[in-house]
Amino acid sequence: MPVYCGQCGAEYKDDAEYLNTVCKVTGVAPTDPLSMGKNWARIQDLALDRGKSETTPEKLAAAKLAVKNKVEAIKAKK
Amino acid sequence: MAATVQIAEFNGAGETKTASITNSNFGSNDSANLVAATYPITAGTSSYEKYQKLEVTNMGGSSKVKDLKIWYTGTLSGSDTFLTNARTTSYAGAATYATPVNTTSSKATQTMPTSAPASANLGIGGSLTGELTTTGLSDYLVMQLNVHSATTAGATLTLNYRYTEIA
Repeated sequence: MPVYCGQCGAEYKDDAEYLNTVCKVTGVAPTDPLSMGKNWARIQDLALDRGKSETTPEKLAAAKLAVKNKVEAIKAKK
Repeated sequence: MAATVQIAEFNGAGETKTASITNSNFGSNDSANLVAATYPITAGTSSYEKYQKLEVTNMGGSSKVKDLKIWYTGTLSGSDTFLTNARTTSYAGAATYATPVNTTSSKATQTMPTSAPASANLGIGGSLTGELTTTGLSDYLVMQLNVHSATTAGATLTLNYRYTEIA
């Protein structure tokens, strides 16, 4: 099935090609959290919080720290 | 890290996929990211159906994505109705794709909720208790806007997609 990027309109022959290409609009591949838009960190944080009863506090904290670290790394680049 | 999640839309007779859509505008045309002003819906008719899926492109180290909830916020114009296949009970399993139509949908027959449902209303693998444990897609979310004959202008709504993620 042909796949079009909803951000830049580029056409790909399949999902694999799409997922491995950096989008000209977002500047990242579709597998990068930044492709979720400007609120990506908040979206991820809330989704992790909703699942907290089914994981360990350690795993939850590690996942949330990873999100925070990515935010900080992006800020440091600017 | 955490999962990367996007919304994909499917269109056309041959079914093409538009990944990471930027809006869910309804109109008189079967296309993703459409401009509503270009494709207005005549009063007393229906929009083209929309077939969308929630897509996980990267699990980001998490073990599961599940519990999909879809609803809208805002106010529809006049007596318009917003219908979907999403539902918390009597879920019909994964909808199959068919070329989207602008006649009355046989799949989008349930009123779209106006607040977050108490439990999942869109399935994964045909079940409301389904889970994604690797990258992949949800069941089709089928939606249609029915514009009342007395409606004179459109409305701007927010369509909400919520998922739960297990670290």
